[in-house]
Amino acid sequence: MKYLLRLTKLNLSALLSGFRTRGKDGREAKRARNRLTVYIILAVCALMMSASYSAILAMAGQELGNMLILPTIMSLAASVLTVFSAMMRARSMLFQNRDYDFLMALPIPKKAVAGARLLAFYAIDLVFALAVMLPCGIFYAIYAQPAWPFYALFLPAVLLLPVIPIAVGGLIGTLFSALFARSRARNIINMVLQFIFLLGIVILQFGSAQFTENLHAAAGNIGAQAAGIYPFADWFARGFFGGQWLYMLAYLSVTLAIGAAFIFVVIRAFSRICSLLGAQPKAGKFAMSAQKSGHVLSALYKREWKRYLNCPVYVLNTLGGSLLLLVGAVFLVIYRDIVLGLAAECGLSGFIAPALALLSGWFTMLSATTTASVSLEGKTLWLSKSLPIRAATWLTAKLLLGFTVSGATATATALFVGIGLGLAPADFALVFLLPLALGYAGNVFGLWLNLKNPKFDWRNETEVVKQSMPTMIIALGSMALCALAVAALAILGPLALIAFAALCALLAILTHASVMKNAEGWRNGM
Amino acid sequence: MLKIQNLTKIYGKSFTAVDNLTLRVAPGDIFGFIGHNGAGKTTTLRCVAGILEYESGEIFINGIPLAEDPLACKRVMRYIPDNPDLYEHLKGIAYLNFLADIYGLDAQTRTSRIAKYADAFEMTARLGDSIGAMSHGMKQKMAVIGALIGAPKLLLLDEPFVGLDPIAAHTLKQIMRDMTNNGAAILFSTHILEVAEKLCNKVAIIQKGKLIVAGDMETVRGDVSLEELFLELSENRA
Repeated sequence: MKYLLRLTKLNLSALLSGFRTRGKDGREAKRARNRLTVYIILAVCALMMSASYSAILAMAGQELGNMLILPTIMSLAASVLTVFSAMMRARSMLFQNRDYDFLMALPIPKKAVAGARLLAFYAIDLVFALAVMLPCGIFYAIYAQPAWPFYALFLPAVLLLPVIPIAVGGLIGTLFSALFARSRARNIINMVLQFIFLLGIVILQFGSAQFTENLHAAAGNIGAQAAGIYPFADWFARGFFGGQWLYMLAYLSVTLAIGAAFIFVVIRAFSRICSLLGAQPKAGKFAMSAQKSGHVLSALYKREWKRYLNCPVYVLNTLGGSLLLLVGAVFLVIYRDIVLGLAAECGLSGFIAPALALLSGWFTMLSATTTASVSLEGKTLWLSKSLPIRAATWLTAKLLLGFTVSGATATATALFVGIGLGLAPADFALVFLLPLALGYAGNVFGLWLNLKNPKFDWRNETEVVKQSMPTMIIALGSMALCALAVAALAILGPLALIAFAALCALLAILTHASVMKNAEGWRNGM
Repeated sequence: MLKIQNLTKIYGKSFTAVDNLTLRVAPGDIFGFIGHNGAGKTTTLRCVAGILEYESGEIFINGIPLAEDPLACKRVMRYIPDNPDLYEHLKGIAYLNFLADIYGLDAQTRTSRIAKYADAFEMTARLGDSIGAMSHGMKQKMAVIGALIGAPKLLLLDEPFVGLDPIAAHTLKQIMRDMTNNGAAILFSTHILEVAEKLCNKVAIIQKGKLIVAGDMETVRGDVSLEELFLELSENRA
């Protein structure tokens, strides 16, 4: 038990090391404080979002006379988030190889090592569950005014909620990784499978939903669908919120059984899985042949691409949203008559293009690869600093990757939507140029943020790709910017968006010039 | 080839890793740089390689001040660290081609140099593998090959023989001798004093950031072995 607790403390300490200021010099301490501030803001935003959904569902539930749709839907949302998160992190956190050799060589029981990783794994998903369920619980208490058992059981219920999704997500993530551990194409296969899974979740959620003006009917439909997709959400809601003991016992039994089975399998197969996932593709037989020469910038650009494609979480985090948007655009074009008809009924025909432009712009900005590209140099930074490479060229290659990714998705979406919906030239230009401008801005600001807040001592790429301050700021900032644009659009009309795009592009150009001018200084200071 | 004048590097606000170091490495020198753990060897090498900024002093490479024209300095030197942290997502051949592009090597030159050094270190068959899949020793060989294909005039090596098998270590020593016979200069740090004694014509001993002694191997060593000298100096300073 002492080893388990010590190792868990060590794992959690490593996760939180980015926020600590003790033992760090002025600049690092400041970065740690900034990072913590951003995470707190994000947590507050997540809580507010969860609270908004909870409030809407609570009101709908009260009108429908069925308050259980609130915990059913919110627990499904928390579970989906947890499954996805566990899938993405199974390999990098549960079965990572970085300190595996070191720990296995120590006189520590293997089950303590595996158990500690499981606990740290669970702790992260518990945070997601709390963020979603706390507001849900509060609104349920206010609207449903349940009896006292609800208050006693709420916290244990939330503690139990992530168990099944972790087991499912952890299993899927591990299976996928194991299946393709020795394949040279494993990264690409991993990315494609994760994207298909994500797409599946989105389609399941919205594919059969009835779009009606009646919120109550919609809430009722979604609640029934949630219970159908994931019956455990229904049992959870009925048991811990509805006070139905049989459902609570059923949920408890299933959770404990699945959780115990997962823990048993992980601990028993821990060494085998770690070895298998640490396996490298089979060594080939290389025969020397004539090599081709290239230029410095193209060499750096190619290297950035290879780095990008080698990291599934990097690709999915930047491209996932844009690809989903593209899929959404496909559906929009397929159902164009329904969409255009609805818009005409509501008097919103003139807002289709601006809305599409803003949505595409938001996702394009979110696809900025530069928020992590400097940090991802990691321990290899010495190469960029010791080789005869201008810092400006080094940074330009990173920006080029970002522009390629965001430009490609913005262009594809604009072309598809523009041609599919038959947009007028002015509308087409808006749907094309606004996302390009925001994509450019996102990548430039992302790079600037990463230069100000680099993190080179990461243990796995997820720390810098998904959890870094620059990524969080761009995620929040893009939302805030687009919200401002929506307000401007509502007040001033579509022309406001053109001014908005121009302003973003101008600020980005100035930032770009400043970054390039001080490029050597930035790199020397790392 | 390399002139270090009054180099001082301080970490944080109080830890002086290198204290007023002055050193010269001439063309044709294989200069051994020895000292205890934490003496300042790696810090000195990283400052010269342009990786670390330093508080005071000057570094000249081939007569060019590093602070004023780092790019020109980096074109003629290569640095090989003790831990070969390379681009693990690249295959060996892709890594070497990347470096060759940075050095500006034409197709024919890079092909012949890559073939020459990959054969010398018996790595040709493994160039198609991902660097992440290679063992520590193979990565070390990749780092060495990557440095050599640029034909540097100044080679900085930090504990280069750690992780190399005996054949590769012998090959590296031979290459070092050939390079310096052709006018290049080498500064390398090592804990293996026997290697330094046999390989180097000059040696410098650093302790707690300060240069204790530097010069021709025979002059510095005198009648004792390098190990005996090092131990004696360590006792005196303690």
